[in-house]
Amino acid sequence: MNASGWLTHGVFIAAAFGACALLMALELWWLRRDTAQAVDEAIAAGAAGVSPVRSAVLVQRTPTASTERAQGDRA
Amino acid sequence: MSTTFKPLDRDASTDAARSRRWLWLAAPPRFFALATALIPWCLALAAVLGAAGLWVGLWLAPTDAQQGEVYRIIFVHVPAAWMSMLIYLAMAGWAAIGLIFQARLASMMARALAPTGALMTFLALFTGALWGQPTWGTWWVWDARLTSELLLLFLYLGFIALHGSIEDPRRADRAAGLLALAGVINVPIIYFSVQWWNTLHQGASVSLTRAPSMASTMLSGMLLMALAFWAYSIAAALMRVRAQLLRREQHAAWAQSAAHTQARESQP
Repeated sequence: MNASGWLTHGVFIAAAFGACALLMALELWWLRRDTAQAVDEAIAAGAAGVSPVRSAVLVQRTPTASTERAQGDRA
Repeated sequence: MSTTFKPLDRDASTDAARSRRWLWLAAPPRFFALATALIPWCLALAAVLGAAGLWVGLWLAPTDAQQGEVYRIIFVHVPAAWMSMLIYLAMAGWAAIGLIFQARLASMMARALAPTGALMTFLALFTGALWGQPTWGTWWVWDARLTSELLLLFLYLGFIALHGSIEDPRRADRAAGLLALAGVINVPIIYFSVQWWNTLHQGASVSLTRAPSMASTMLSGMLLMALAFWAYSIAAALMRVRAQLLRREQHAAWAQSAAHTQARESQP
């Protein structure tokens, strides 16, 4: 390693690596905080006694003419 | 009647089973559990690979003959730039799946990737400026590579702002997804800008089609850091999608149970 090179450009290298570490740490801290808030909101929603109306499914299609017709036939 | 369709039926049933397996995994409660299990592993992997990358990049890698020590900025600049483009492609891919199949989880993944993509793009621009000042004598030039990377940052910020400005989550997913898809054209422009135009930014030192034009220690340090950034980005996106799932599904029984488990685990 070149000591004079480190003295000249050390501040640039430190700023680059430091910015990465700082911003990533900040993002992780913010994500932990956001998750804790989401947990609190979910618990509060449960405590408010709202019935679980939303089902845990991935695909929710808007009813098409054919599905509406099929529902009509079943009815 | 003959059974000539049997092989075709077997293929169809295999495909159906495969797609059922994916759908099984994509159900919010299962995905939440998977993300919860994966996050600590991804973070640990990012820490180990990052520490190894820093050791190789800052101690083992030799001094560059032309640039001196300042070239070491590439150990964070290049991985951040790669991730900025990769995350955008992943975000657009999830947005496309969300738009085509109306899959909420896919749209949530696209939304979860955007802030980390914006962070990586900012880091690529910031560390690039820090490298440019001692090397080129300027922090910034309106060069094709730099300008298209700046445009990528605006695309990420536009995606986040557009999603945030629409109250209905499904309409927000659709509008932001369309913006993400329209912006995909910028990614090949960034990548090939150094070949298509005469830019101040140097050409690619690492390519899939030819041997790398750098020492193997430098290359291994850069690859270790790139893998660390990759693991970090996956962990960050999974953490964000978990919070989104809890908010959108907060009235579902599984979300209530997951929230109580999380609350118990986070208590000291």
